[in-house]
Amino acid sequence: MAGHKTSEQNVNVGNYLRLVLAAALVLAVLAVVHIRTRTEVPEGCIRIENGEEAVLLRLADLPAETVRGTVVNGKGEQKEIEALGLPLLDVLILAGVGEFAEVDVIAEDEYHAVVTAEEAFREGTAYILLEDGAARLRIFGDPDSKRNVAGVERIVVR
Amino acid sequence: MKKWKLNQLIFMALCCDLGLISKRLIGPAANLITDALHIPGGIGTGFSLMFLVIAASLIKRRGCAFFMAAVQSVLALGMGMVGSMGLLAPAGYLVPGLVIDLMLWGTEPMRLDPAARLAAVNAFAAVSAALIADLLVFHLPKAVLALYLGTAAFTGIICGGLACQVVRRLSPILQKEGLKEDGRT
Repeated sequence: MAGHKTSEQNVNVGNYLRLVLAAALVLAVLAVVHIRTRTEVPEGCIRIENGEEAVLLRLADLPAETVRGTVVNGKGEQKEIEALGLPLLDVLILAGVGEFAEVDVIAEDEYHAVVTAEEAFREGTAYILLEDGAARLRIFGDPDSKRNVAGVERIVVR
Repeated sequence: MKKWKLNQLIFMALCCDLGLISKRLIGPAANLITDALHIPGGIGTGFSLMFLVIAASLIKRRGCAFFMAAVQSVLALGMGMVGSMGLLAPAGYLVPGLVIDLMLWGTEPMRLDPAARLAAVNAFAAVSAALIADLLVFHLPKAVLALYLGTAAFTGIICGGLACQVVRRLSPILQKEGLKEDGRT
């Protein structure tokens, strides 16, 4: 109806814009803090952190071979895959890691999964696969598909 | 208890579908931003929840968003759109749906600007979805979690403003069609 405004129509753009600007400012501060404090890893590399020590490994230099295994997706469906990769344990040995209880495998977007020493030592289980120049953690046969970490950048040893 | 009208259910079903599909549609564009920020998401959900906010604020029935979220979670499970949450995916739909209903109910007497109100509703819903994802899947460190929640809130605010514009345009049309509940503005 002409000339009649409902409460929804009476939009005060000023208040909304102030809200957007305030949120954008907070977001910008959070983004700057995060980007400045995060550990930068050069492209095509994986960083293994063991206490104070950190070792950078070039993915291209890793002795990758064709590996096969069964992965389980979020729907519980099993699928056989074949890819280029190497056991997680071999990556840790290459970085000079000795004893450990567990490792935290962290992606570039900070998504991460914990792999226990038992799983790392179990043959045919925990692998770092190389896909399109990036590393991916695969735990073969693991029903928890959340531990499939793409774009692995760092491995923190505990 | 009043029965749902057929046209209400059809509109809600449409918004449910749009909410589910939109998340997939904007995924690639959202990934460009989240990759640059080095966070595991936070944008698509705010956009997807906008459709629940639109429907709930147009239909104005208690429990509308939660009902739609329940339908979405069943659809998502049925179609295998469960993402990294797996079988826990319904929590990621139901909690934001509940938050939308509670926020719309709680802010109703406050006489807020409609755009600011829907922005707040959408932002809180998006943040609740992000928190659920973090609790169930991501377990992010504090600084990253703050940025992840901030991104969800910001997207929620932007999409809340968009939702307000859609509601403003559709409201007179849908009122004529009897889609809105009587007695509440």
